[in-house]
Amino acid sequence: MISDEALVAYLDGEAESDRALEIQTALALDPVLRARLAELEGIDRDLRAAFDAMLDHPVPERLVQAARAGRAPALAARVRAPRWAAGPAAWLGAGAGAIRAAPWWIAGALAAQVALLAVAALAVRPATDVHTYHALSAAAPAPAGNLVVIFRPDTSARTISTTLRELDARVVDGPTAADAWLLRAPADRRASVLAELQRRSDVVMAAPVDSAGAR
Amino acid sequence: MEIGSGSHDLSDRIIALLPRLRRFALTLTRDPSDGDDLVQTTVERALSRMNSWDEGSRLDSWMFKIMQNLWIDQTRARRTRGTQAPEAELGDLPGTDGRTLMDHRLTLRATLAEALALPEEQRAALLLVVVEGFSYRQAAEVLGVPVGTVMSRLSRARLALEGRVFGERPPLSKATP
Repeated sequence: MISDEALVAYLDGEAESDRALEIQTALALDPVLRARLAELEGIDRDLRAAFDAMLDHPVPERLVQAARAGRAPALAARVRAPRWAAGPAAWLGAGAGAIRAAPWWIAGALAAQVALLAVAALAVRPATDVHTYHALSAAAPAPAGNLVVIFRPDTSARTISTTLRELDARVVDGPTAADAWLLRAPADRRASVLAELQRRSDVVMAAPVDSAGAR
Repeated sequence: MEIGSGSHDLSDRIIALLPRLRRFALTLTRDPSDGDDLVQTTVERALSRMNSWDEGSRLDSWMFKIMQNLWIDQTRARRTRGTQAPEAELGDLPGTDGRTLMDHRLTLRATLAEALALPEEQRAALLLVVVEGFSYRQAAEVLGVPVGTVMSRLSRARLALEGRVFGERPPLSKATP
């Protein structure tokens, strides 16, 4: 079983490479887990969109002055602009028609949000590629495989090696505890390599993998 | 306090960081005014300690860490005085009446409300890793906690958001007991 922490770490590009392979294998085999990862990715996208919207707001002059002077302005000069009085939501540019709501509305709005997710994802998705972004800061990005295969337990190493060479599929990682191998086939030939693997009697399972690192 | 000539570059770099500093401050304080006060204190502290900043290291991590420490000091002092500030009123967040339903800002506001409703330690970790793109190690350094702690905070934060956004239901995949 993939723990929540492991799945989240994978999403954040922080899974150790052996763990990443295990998760990729599980994702290839389990559509429910794939759906869950997609949900989590959607939440992260919404978070980035919501928090990135804050960056567009003009910075109060007193903060610029503080950075420039390195000195605290007199306390009396710390005027609070009225526009901030509306609370955190003001950061999102609440329009004049926005309705101040009691806490009860949040539940209703969230129900609406579920319906809106698909639309909103298209409308507000930032142009950033989170996985690339993480790869810049992560210590060791996992190698990108695009296929996972499990051979029958009695298959010899020589047979496996010959098969993979003939198919031009390179081993990226493995075998896992479940004897799964993560492979990388040329992107344009992945489908045919996959079909060939699935045809073979010594292959128990072969499935495409869209690893986080490859996107 | 006199600042040396070398502070011009640093000042410019800090000015460029101000929007992100404000965002982190709002995440911690959940109040725009308190947040800007915290940014100001952070900037002043950073400039007074610029000698302790290693030029080769990241200015943003260094300042986030200063801010995080100042905020911890402030909340601790408040708690000691028994005058803990009330939690931010999330009811202040604007809602909808149906006419604005298709406004995508609704989603952003709801997402922001949910994120800001999380416990402080979780929303700080979420901001650093998910929004700022820090690695777990960098976030752990800013927050002054082990990497494993960052990991579990992020996991709990995501589960909470998942439950709220998609309705309460047991996680499909649970850690093996």
